[in-house]
Amino acid sequence: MDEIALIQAAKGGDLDSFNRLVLAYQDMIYHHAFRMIGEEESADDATQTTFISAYNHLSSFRGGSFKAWLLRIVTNACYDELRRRKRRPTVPLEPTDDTGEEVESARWMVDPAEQPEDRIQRVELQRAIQHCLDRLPDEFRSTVVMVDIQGMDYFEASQAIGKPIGTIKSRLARARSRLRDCLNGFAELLPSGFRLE
Amino acid sequence: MKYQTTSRDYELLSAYLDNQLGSEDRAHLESRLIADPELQKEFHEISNTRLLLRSMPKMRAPRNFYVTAKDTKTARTRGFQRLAPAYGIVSAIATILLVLLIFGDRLVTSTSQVALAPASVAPIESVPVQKEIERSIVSTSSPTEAPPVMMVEAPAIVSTAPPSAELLVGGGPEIATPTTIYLNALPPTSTPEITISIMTDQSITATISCDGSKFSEPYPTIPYACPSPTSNPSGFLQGILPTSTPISADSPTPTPYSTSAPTLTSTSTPTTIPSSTPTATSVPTETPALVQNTASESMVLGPTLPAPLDQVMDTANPTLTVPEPAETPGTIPNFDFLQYLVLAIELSLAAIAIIAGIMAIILRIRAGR
Repeated sequence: MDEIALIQAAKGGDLDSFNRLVLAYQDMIYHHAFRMIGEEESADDATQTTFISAYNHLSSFRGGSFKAWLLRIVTNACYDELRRRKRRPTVPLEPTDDTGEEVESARWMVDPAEQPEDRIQRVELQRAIQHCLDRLPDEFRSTVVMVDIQGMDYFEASQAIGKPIGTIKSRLARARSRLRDCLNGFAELLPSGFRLE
Repeated sequence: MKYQTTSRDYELLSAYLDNQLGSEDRAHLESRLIADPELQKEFHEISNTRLLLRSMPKMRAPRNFYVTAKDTKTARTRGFQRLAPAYGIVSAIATILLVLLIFGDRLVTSTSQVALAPASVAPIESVPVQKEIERSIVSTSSPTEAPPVMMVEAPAIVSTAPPSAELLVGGGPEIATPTTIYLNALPPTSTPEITISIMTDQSITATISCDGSKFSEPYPTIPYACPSPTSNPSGFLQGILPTSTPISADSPTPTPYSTSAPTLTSTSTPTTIPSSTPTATSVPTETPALVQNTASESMVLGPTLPAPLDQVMDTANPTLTVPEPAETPGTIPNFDFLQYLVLAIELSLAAIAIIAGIMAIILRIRAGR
């Protein structure tokens, strides 16, 4: 069954059809939420909220890119979560163990095939990138995550964010420039071919 | 010369990386990249940043995010709980409005209690008074009509009246309505050719003498009510207020008075107008008076009472007129009605504030669980 038929069936109340759509998009949505928020539990909550909200408001989907529609919902859910976190005490981005010590490598970063040094360096680089992403304004972060991490084109990003393409271009350029400046502070973590001067 | 990269240059470089530039812009930027090593360096850095971002590993969902029927119901409940801030805001706004209204009401009430009362007196009753006067003047009812039930002798109240009471026209609305009563008490023997006019100016203080010696003065045409010492000394016209103390059921208001009021005849018509001293010669000596006892005052209403000094006979005007005060608009609503309206609004705001506040608290508690 194709996507449009699943959407129509879900609009009619078929929860199984909608859950098939969930299976198709949950990795992308979770990835976007994690890059936006930078924390596992909150990304999980945002993803679950996104699919529940999408099912409850499926009647408002007028066609077009279902992926962009879902990304718009998850982006708004991430904005809500980020605003809530700004109002409340900060939550450590890194998980802690039973003794309260920060876990060096989160579960999702573990790759058993890697050598320990390579894994540590890669993990540190990803943490550095995520750190720089977290320092971006929310609007810039959502744009750069959609285009550079999710691989969407400008039109899709424009649909998902609900802004004109010119705004997407401008935000993306400024986000990349700020990320460049931020990553220059982690030059020792960057691979030789990616070394920024 | 060192070229400073602008935000426009970053935007062009970023769009060039994503192949989003037009052919003209692309050619122009490529020529600049060849000629400007600084711009080329910037382009290289932006390109590496983009590569780093694209090298980020794809995250996989830690579990399946299936949606169940229970989730949808919970979501609706949460959506209702999101209204908690709205309820709080509504409660706060209603409280603020309530406080402002209470203080504003008290301020207005304290400052305008004296000023508003005259305005609400004359315009309301002027027309009915005139109609009643015309009806009573035109009326040539039989002199054998029985006198009203409440007719008693006037001297009883004359002794209670101050020798020279200054009556202010206007004032509190709680006084009785003697004007209506005495106007109906015009003697039926009065003839249409007799011109009666009340020159009432509420902007000034009408000096009305209730002195017993003034009764002997030949000015029998227009009776008026003299308040007792305990009555409100603000004048008889304020008693026109419809919200004042009600007249007793046996009030002789609609009944024409008997001919026992020997006050007005064709021979007793004053000869000069307007004069501060009446010129009528006939002096009523024994006339029944209408006594009205209310909770706060005792009024003597009878045709034999002398008219105020500022009441004149106007032969050119065959009707008894009570002119409207020039400075009191007739559109001012009833003050009591406004008070009830304000009270209703205050109660409504209080109810809204309380209910919205309780709803906000309940939703907050549920959201916290």
